[in-house]
Amino acid sequence: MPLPDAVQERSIDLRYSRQGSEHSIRVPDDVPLARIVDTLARAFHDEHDRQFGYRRPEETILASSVRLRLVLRNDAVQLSDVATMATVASSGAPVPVGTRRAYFGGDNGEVSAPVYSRSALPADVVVGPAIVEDVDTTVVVPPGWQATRGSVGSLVLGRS
Amino acid sequence: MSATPDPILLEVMKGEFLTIVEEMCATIGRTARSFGARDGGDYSGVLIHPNGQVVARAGVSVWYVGNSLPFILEKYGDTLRAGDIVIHNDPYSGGTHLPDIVLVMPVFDDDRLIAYVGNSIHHTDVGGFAPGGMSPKPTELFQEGLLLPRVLLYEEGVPVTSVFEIIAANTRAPDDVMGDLDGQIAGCLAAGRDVERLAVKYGADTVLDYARHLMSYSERAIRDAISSIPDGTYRVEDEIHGSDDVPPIRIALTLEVDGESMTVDFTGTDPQSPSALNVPPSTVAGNLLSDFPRVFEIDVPANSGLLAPIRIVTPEGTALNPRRPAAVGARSAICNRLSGLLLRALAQAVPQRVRAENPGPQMLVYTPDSEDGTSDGMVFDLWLGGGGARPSLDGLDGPVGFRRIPGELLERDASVALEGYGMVPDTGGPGRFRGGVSLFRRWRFLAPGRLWLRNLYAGRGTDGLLGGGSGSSSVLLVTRGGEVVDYTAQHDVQIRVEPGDEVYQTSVGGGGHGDPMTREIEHVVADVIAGTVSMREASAAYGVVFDAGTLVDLDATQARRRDAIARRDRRPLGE
Repeated sequence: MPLPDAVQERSIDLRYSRQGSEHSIRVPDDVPLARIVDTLARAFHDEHDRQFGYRRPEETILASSVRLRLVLRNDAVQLSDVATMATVASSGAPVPVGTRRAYFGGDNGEVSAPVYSRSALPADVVVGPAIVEDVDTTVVVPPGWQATRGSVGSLVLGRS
Repeated sequence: MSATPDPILLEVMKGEFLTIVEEMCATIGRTARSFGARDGGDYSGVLIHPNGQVVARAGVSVWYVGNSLPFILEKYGDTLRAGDIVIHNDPYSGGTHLPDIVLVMPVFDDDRLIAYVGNSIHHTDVGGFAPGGMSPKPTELFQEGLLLPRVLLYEEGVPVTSVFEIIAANTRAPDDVMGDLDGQIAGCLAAGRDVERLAVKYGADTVLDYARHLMSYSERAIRDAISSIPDGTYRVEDEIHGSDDVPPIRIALTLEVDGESMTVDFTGTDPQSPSALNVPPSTVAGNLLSDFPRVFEIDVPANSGLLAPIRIVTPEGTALNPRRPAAVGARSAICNRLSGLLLRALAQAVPQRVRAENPGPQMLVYTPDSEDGTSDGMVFDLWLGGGGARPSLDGLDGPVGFRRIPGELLERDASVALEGYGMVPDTGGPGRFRGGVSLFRRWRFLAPGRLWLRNLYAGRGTDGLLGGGSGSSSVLLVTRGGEVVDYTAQHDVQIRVEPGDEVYQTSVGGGGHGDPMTREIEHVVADVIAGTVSMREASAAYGVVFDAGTLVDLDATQARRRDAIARRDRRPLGE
């Protein structure tokens, strides 16, 4: 299969015999085949020395894996697509899905804070104290702060 | 020292210290070459305050790396310099037995000593009477191998090559030992760099202050735990077999709990043994307390603070404090049981909180013959049996405590074929919570060589608690030239094997906790399905009545259990 734009990255996993873990060493593109073994061995001794503070140049080196990685360049992700998906349910003023007692300390103490679902959050400003829930995170908007929707599905918090 | 620690910084420092010792151990694991260290993980690392107290530790073995420091300082005082590394394995100077080689390195912040880092590996072999150095047969330390008496392995960053040469010339496994030693040095250097970085990041004073805060924190926690035990004196004793040449060794333990401190007194323990079944005193404390924090759910850093309120008495001349040059190579037969003895004493005081004891280690050491007499890659298999049942959970099935060497690696690197490996049903002590089941391994040897087997539990199981049954004793069969020899009743087997000979060896099961007739019926059924309990045992020990296949007759089961409990309650005491 022709992959004209693919970048090839070759590496080899090396260790001293009977060690339990390897170092992955990049195989350089510009070294002639006749010198490749010496080059890799030197790179391995260097890397082992860097990580563990010693080298054993007289020892046999063992190769456990040879790796080839192909990297294909993709078009940049369009973040506006994410924003569109995230705001699909939004229109009108924010409607809380419930309220929760929340402690903010200081003069605020314990307050009853509205809870919003992030997926149903409208474009309007949410004024703290408030809690914005998502499937994988909870955003607390403290008293004196407000949250507005950013351009790519983000929430931007700022002081009111 | 600042009076009150900042709680956030305390937590951060706790993580920093633990990371240093864990990284030291990870470095050893990645560079080591032997089965025992590379695959079995038999090593440990410690970070030591300049005052000699252990700040953090990681790995399997216990405190003795830290215990070595006073002996090292007794010899070197304040003359150690940056880049020096001291090596030793002297059981009478803070070491434990000769295969456990300790390295200790001072760490400096400019000219100021800020810590010692140290580690140890249980090495494959340091010469002596038998490969592996754990035979009970030697009668004095000099028979057990090479003694390294607190000498410099590195001097200001330069290796002392003569010491390396002496070690290499005195082991049956020079590639294993020298390769593992490289790993220990790498571990010291890695930990040293980490400590230096810590001092730069927070300042040496802060680092040392918080090390002491963390020790106070751990000390507070263990004092609270001890004060929750009713004051009193609790006595246990047991006989420990590890050899067929000498009588079993009686260990007597008296626990005295007084407020928030306690004394563990071993007065009454047998005199030191003429065998290698002796435990150097530095080894006693760590093994004794290995379960204590877990049992009392003390989730604090393991540091010297835990030892502060506990006094340990080991009378000189006994098996737990022998006089030089008593042999100590087989100490693990005894020292791994000390924690279990303490649990049994605690069970008299707080039976609902203590679990049944974990068994001590079984062993197999296979040394194939070789033309040049070296035995690199000799098989060194060490494992504990099924875990004792806990007050609200079953014991752990299979090996407790140590990582077991995978069969694939054994077959790749040694002249063995692993013909079978698995759990042995019905070996866990029955109980409301069941003891862990034991493991078997069936080995076939592909080359002629020497074999040493330790069968610590010949004919004897581990005790249960509060009505729980005993875990099963071990089984040891050797097939030589097609003939089966039963070594089950023997504790110490040293034989030759030829190609094709086989060994079937099991560990021992953990004891049960509580009355098995009260075990949840669905747990018994789950065990039957998992294969850890047979239908026969489910019926005999747990009173479960099966009807037509594997369906449980609940009414009949409950009736049988009521009957069993009633019959037992009528039985006169002492029967």
